[in-house]
Amino acid sequence: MRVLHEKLTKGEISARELTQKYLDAINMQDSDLHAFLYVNVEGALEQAEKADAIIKRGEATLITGIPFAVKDNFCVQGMPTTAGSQILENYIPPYTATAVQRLLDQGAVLLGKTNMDEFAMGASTEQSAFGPTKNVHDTTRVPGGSSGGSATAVAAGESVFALGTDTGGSIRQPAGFSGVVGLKVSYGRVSRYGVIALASSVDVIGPITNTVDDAAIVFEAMAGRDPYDSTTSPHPVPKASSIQTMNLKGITVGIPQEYFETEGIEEAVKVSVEAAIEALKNFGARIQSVRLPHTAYAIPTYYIIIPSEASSNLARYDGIRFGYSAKAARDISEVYNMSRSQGFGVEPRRRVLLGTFVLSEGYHDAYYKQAQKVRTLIRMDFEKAFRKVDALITPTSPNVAFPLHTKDQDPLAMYLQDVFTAPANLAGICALSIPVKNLKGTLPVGMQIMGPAYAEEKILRIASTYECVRAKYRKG
Amino acid sequence: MKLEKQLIQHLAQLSRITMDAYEQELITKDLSRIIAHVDTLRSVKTQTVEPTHQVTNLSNITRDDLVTEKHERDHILKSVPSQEGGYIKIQKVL
Repeated sequence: MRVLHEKLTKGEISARELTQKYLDAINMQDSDLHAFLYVNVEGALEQAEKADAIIKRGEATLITGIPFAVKDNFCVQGMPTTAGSQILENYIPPYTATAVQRLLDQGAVLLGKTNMDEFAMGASTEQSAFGPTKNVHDTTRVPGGSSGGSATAVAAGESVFALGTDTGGSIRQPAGFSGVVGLKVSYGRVSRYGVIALASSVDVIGPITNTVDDAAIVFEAMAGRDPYDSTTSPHPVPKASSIQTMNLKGITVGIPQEYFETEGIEEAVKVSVEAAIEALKNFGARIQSVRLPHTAYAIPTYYIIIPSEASSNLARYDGIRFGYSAKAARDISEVYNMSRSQGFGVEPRRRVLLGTFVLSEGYHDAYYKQAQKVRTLIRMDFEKAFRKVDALITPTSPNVAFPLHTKDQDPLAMYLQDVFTAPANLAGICALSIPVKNLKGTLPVGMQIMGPAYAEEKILRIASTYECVRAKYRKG
Repeated sequence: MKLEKQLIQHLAQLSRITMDAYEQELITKDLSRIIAHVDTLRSVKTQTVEPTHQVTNLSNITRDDLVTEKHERDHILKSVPSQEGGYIKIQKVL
């Protein structure tokens, strides 16, 4: 992004030309890849012209004139916003999400909206009501999900960066599968105002980018308190330019044994991540084994809390205020029932029923309350670990990208994709995925770096250092 | 735990979702497997553990009740399923 910024400010390329280049790439490739649900052709060119004016006035920031895409659960005024669901097929929001607005205010250029699993429920982008997105490294495979459209858009060169949302791994897992960087910010770091909710106590948004530096730049541009999201934190936002690299002196990295001992972890993933960890030692990092004893309970906890919150968040889709409305309904009860039954795909229906069950009379204490208590134990595991180490490193997912239509009929297999990523969401801490060299194959492998809440600067520093090592390795 | 047909129908009614017999059978099977998986939590000792409701440690965050953003009437009308003559149109269901 810094290279593009330099070209833009030196006048080597205009924002309009750059935008056209990306629109052409979308035009050329996206009928195969299906990363985009909506392409903002005219709007993007108009925004690019405004960006050129900002650049001419000498007021450009690092993201002025940079083309980007957002997952289709970010509201953008006047632009269709479906969250990958039939029930919102014709929804055009009257306002724009804060995170997107902050980027637009700096003159970034919005190329369009990217595909996703319906209401961000999924790990493959196959649950989109509008058809799956493909993995650019192998189009017979999934790009991961739920932010699979954003990951493919960046990996395929259809966008410089893209925004995603992460409730249980939906930024990190597709970034890992697609060979790009994905940052899940600490809970409360970036405003969720204008983002269609899945599970409000864990949802976060973040960038998917080609480099760690790009992730830091976009993070800095979006983060910080927002009066429209009362959960946003007053913590100061780190500057992208202050993130150190090539130096990990004084940094201790913890390796949680439970993750590497997980059943079903692929050998290629395990050895590739272990080799990447080894490489960090050369830059002064100390490596230490740690235990997170409640790891095995993260998925069961997650799949009680998330459906509970989702069933409540999805109650607003009543067939009246927005989106799909069943025409044949004869009374109010039929409007609700028919609109929701026809508008929601199978996964939202499953989660609404599951959430309703675990919250219902007679089951609430045994399931929901118990899950909230185990959530405390999972948080405490991290708190204890972070007293000894600065960050934790694990694989992002137990496997590389899997072939299309191999897990989409098996919800439990899909849920287990989140096994390494969901714990960070339950604890509210920050985490990112960075591609590492796959020692036993060609498909991308993601390495996850987790840090305490509001320690993004630290995990970006470790990731940036690894990135430099890998770049050198590639050249050599 | 076995999910009885009656319970699924009750949940469907609470959720305002209707399903035909085939869908109901599929979803019962899926939910039974998922619930068997989440049942592993029952063995965790939590008698002395407080539940986590939220992770921010923030409380009572307020802002001044000022009009800062203009919601244009035309924009709002665009967001609803049906409109006529500047009004939001809904079916005659009441």
